[in-house]
Amino acid sequence: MFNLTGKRYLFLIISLIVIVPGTLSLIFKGLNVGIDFLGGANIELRPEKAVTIQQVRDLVSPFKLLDLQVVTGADTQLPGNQTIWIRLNTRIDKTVQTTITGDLQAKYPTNGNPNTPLSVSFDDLTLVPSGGGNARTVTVVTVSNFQKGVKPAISDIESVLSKLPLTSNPALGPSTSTPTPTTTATATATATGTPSATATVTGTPSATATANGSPTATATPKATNTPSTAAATPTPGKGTPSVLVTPTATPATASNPSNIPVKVDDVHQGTTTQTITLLTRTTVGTPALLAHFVNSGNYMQVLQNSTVSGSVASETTRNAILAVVAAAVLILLYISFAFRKVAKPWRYGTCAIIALLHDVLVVVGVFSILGWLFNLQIDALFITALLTVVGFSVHDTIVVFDRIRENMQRRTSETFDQVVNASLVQTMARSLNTSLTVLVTLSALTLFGGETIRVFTGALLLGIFSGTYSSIFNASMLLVIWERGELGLGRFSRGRTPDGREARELARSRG
Amino acid sequence: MRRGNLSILIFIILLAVGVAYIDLPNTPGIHILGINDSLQWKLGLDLQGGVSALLVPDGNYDNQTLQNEMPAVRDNIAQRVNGGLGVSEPSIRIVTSNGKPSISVELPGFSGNQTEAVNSLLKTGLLEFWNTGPSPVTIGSPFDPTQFTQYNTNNKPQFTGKDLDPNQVYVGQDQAGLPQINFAMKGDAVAAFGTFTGKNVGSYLTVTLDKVVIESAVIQSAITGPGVITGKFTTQSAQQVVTVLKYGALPIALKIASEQTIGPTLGQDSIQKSVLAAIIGLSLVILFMLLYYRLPGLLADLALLLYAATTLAIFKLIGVVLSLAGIAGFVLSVGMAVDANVLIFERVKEELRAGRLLASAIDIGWKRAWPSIRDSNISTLITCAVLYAFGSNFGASIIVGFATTLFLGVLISMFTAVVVTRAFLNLLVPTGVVSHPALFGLPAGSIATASLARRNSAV
Repeated sequence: MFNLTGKRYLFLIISLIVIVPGTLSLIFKGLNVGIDFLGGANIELRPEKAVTIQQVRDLVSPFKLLDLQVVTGADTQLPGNQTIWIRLNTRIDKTVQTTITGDLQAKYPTNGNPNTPLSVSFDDLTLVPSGGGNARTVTVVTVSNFQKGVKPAISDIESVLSKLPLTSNPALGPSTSTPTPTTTATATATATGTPSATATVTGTPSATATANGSPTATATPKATNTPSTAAATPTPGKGTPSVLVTPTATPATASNPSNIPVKVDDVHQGTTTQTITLLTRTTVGTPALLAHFVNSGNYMQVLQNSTVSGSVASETTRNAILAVVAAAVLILLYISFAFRKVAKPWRYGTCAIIALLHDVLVVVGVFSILGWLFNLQIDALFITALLTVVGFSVHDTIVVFDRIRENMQRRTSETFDQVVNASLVQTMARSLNTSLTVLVTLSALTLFGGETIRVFTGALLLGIFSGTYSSIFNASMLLVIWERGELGLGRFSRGRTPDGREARELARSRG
Repeated sequence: MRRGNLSILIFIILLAVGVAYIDLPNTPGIHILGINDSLQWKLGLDLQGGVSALLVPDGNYDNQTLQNEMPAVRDNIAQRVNGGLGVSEPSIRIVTSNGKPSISVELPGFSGNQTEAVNSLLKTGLLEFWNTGPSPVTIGSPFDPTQFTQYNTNNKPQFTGKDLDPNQVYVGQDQAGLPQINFAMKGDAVAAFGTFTGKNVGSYLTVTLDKVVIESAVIQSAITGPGVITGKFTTQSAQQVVTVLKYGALPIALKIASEQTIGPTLGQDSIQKSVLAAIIGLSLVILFMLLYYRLPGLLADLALLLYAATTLAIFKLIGVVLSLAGIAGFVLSVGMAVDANVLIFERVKEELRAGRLLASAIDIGWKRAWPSIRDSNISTLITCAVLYAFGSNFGASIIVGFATTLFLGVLISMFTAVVVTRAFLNLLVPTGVVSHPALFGLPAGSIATASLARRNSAV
C-alpha cells in the first residue's frame, strides 16, 4: 500500500511552492482586472455603410483599444436613417459654421416639430492624404436628425452649400486633432494635442484655445519662416497627451485673417440604421477617432463617447467574499455536526475550510501572476469560477473525510495515520475518476471553446485540479499533523491520545 | 421491492417524456391552467443580442445627488430585470457623459414589445395610498392630491410603498380568477394601517403608482392583516407592478434617451466552436463511464442524459438566460453529476471484490456511499443558500444567478444518480442477464456465486 501520510510534508511544500509566490503577487501586484470591474469608455458610432464586427475591429486596431468589445445594432428611435458628412477644404470659423447651420436648417425645416431640429456639428480634423504629403486641417460637418420621411440628397446639400463666405484665420478655430491614434489608458478624456509641433513653429506657440473654440489669445507668429504643418502630426507612441491644445498656425493664414475661400470637397451619405457600440478600457478622444475614420474613408458619426462603470459593482466582489466566508462558517458547523460520531469533529471542518482557502489562493494567486506576466485579464466570470471552485473543493474534501469517518469506526486497532492512509487509497479511484471527467470536459471547453470563456474555463480547470489535490494531499495530511501535534498544533488538541484510539472508542460508545 | 422499482421506472419514463416535450426546439409550449409559456430558449447577449437602452435622469437633479444615487438605481434596475432568481443576465452600467451619469441597460433576447419591456423597468415605483373621502377616482387617471386636501394632511399620502413588506407582495387571483396584487404592511405600518382603515370605513382608499390611479375602492372594514389591490390588471401588468414594489422605488426618475436592438457580441463561429467543445466534452464523459464501469456506466450514462434534459427543461421553465459561460457551466455540471455514480460504483465494486452477491453488493455499496453523497451535496447546497441570500440582499445578481443554477443542478444530479441509476440496476439484476463480471469491469470469476457468497458472509 502507498504510504501517503508519510510524505505529508512533501505535499504541503508542493502547495506552498504554488501559493507563496501567488499570494505575494496578489499582495504586491494585485489582480489584473478587466473592463467588467474597472469600466472604461463607451463609444457609439453610426457608420456610413453597414459594416461587420470584424471590419470595425480592423478599422480601430491602430488605437490599440484594450478589452475591446464590439456590438452592432440597429437604432429603433432616432428618426430617419441618414447621416450626411461634408468635408470642407479648410477649417472654418464660427461665422461660417453659423452660415452652414442656418442654410441647412432652412433647407430641411423641422416642420413644426421644434424638439427635433436638424443636428449640425463641426469637427476640425487633421488629415493626411492617402498618397502621402502634408497633413492639413479641415472641418468635417456632420448632419443628422433629419425629419421622418425626409430624404436628403447629396446634390441638394452641394447646391445649398455652393456659396459659402470666406473664413477667417482657421488657426483660431477649435482644437486640432491628429490622424495618428493617440490614446491614453486613463479615464480622463484628453484632447490629443500636438506638442511636438511647437518646436518647429519658431518658438512662438502663444495661442491657447478654449474648449468652445473661441481663442483667448491670438496667435502671434513673429517669424515668417514657414513651419511645417506636417509637424503637427505627433509621432505615434511618444506624443504625451496635452490638455493644452496648441493650434497649428500657418503664417499665410495668419497674415491674411479672412480671405480663405470655403468649398465643399466631398459629401458622404449614410445608408444604414446600423449602430456600432465600442466598449473598451481605453479612452479615445472623439476628434482622434473621427480623423482616423475620415482618413481611412470610413465615415462614421460619433453619437456618444462616454465613460462607463464596470458591469460588476465594486460591492459585488466584496459581497462575494463575505458570502464565501459566511458559507465557510456554516459548512464548518455542518461538518462538525455530520462528523459528531468521531472524535474532535470540528477538526474535520477546519481542515476542509483550510483546503478551500488553499484552492481559492491557488487560483487567485496564479491568475495574479499570469496577469502581469502575460497581461491576462480577469472578467466577471472569474467570480463565478471561484464560487464553483469553492463548492467543488468542499464537496471533494468531504468525500475523503467521509471514508476516514467510516474507517475510524471500523478499524479501531490501527493508528490514525494508517486509517487516513487507507481511506485515501480507497477513495483514490473515485477522486481521480470524478476529477478526470470534470477536467476532461473543461479541457475540451478551454481548448475548443470560444476565446471569451477561456479565463472562466481556465480558472475552473486550475481550481478543480487544486481542489482534488488539496482534498487528498492537504486536508487529510493536516488532520494527521494535527492529530500528532506536529507544527505546534499540539496546543490545539486537548487531552491528545497518540493514536486517537481511546477517543475513537469513546466516541463509538457514545454514538 | 420490484414493485417499488417499477413505479419509479414509470415515473422516470413520464419525467423523460415531460422534459423531452419541454426541451424540443419547436415545442408547442404550455398553455393550460392559466400558464402561458411558449418555452423558447432565452439566449444571452453574447449569443443572440437583445435590446439596449440609455436611461437618463428625468427631472432636475443636482450632480451630487445623481453621483450618489446612480449605483442604487443600477442595483434596483438589475433586481427588477432579474426578479428573484438572478438568471436574466442583463448588462447594466453607469454611463457618464460630460459629467452627467445615466444608465445603460442591455437586455438579452427580446423579441416582443421592447419599448414596453424597457418602460416597465422605468416605473419609478412610487406607490401611495390616499384617502379620497366619499368619491372614487377613475382607474388609470392621473392623481391630483390637491383635490383631496381635507382627507390627507399636507397633501401627503397615508401610506407609501416603503410601508410594504417586500416579502409579502405577490400576484394572486380574486374569486373570478382575475389577477390581483396581495400585499401586507410591515413594522409600525401594520397597526397604523389597521387604525386608519378602521376609522375610515365607507371612505374610498385610492392607490396610485407613480401618481397614476391603479385602484380606488371603498373600505369595507378595518384591514388588520394582508390586503389586496384588485385594480384592472393583466397577469403581466400585475407581475410588473409587483416586481417594482418588491424592490422599492427608484431614487431617481428615468426616461429613455435612446434605444436600439443589438446583435450578438460573439460571432457565429465562436458559438459553433463552443457547442462543438461541449459535445466533445460530454461524449468523453459518456465514453469514459461506459469503458470504465461497463454496464453500470451505461445506466449512469442514461441517468446523465436524463440529468441534462431535466436541467435544461427547468432552465427553460424558470427562464434562465443561457450565455456562453452558462453553457460551459452546464457542461461542467454534467461532469460533476457523474460523481455520485462514481462513488456508488466504486463502492459496489469493492463489495463485489469482497465476495458479496451482486444484489447485496449493490445494496450495501449504495448504503455505504450514501453518507458521503449526502454530506458533500448538503455542504454544496449550504454554499448555494448563503450565496443566494447574500446576492439577493445586496443586489448582486451575478452571485444569485450562480447560486440558483448550482442549487438546481445539485438537486437534480442527486435524484438522477441515486434514484434513477439505482432503479435501473435493481430492475436489471434480478433478471439474471447481467451477472457476468466483465459487465462490471471486473475479472472473470470475481462475482460470487450464491454458495460462495453465503460462505463468505458466514465468515
